[in-house]
Amino acid sequence: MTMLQRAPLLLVILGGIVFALVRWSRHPKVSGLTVLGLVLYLIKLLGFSALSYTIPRMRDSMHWSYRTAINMYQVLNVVNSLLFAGLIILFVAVAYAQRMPTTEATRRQDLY
Amino acid sequence: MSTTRAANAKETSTKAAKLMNGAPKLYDLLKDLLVQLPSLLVLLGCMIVAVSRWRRHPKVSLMVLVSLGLLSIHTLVSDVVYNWVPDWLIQAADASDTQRAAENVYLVLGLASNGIVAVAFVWLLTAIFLQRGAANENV
Repeated sequence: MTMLQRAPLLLVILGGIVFALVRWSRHPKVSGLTVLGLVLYLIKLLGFSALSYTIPRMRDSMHWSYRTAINMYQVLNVVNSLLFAGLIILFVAVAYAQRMPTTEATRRQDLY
Repeated sequence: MSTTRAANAKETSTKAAKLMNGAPKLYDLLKDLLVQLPSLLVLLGCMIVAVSRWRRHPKVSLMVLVSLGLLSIHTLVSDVVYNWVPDWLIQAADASDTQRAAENVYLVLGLASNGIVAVAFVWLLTAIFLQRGAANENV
């Protein structure tokens, strides 16, 4: 069910990886970083889904209290948020990496 | 007179009960928002970068801003929605079918939430490859 919920995002990630690979010959560095970011995002998505399912089982096997399990979820969410933040920084940096100013912008700068 | 006072007291106690039920939810919401704070701060910072780059790359900046704006709104709204909406919908469902109702509610919410993030990522990926000539690579 979790995978069904994440289907739209998984499709976009896989589509993005394919598209970046297609563009590899034109922009190898940009495509490489995009593929890296998307693969890390995919690992994060699948990894955290698996981990969140593991916590109840670990609670039983390691005799954690309810409070401890809740705290584990909180820690997981904070780490998830930090990783997502890192990925956003990567994607935004890639969006502006190795770009020339557009001709329109250059023309505007010439006027000053 | 006493009837009015009794009615007022009843209304006050109902309001207090509602407030007491709402307080843990508000606390949960604040906790969820605090957890999302790193993402929200980074999204805000990246939006400032996009605005500062507007003159050089207006189209790319617009797409980045739309994408990051959507992600920020999603982060804030999804916390609120997940705190209140499932309980309302599950309570409104037939008592004999609560388990199924909960599964359906979480499936729909999950699909909608992930769908919005997917749309935001389509915009972001489009911004990455937008207006790139083959010659730009060597610059």
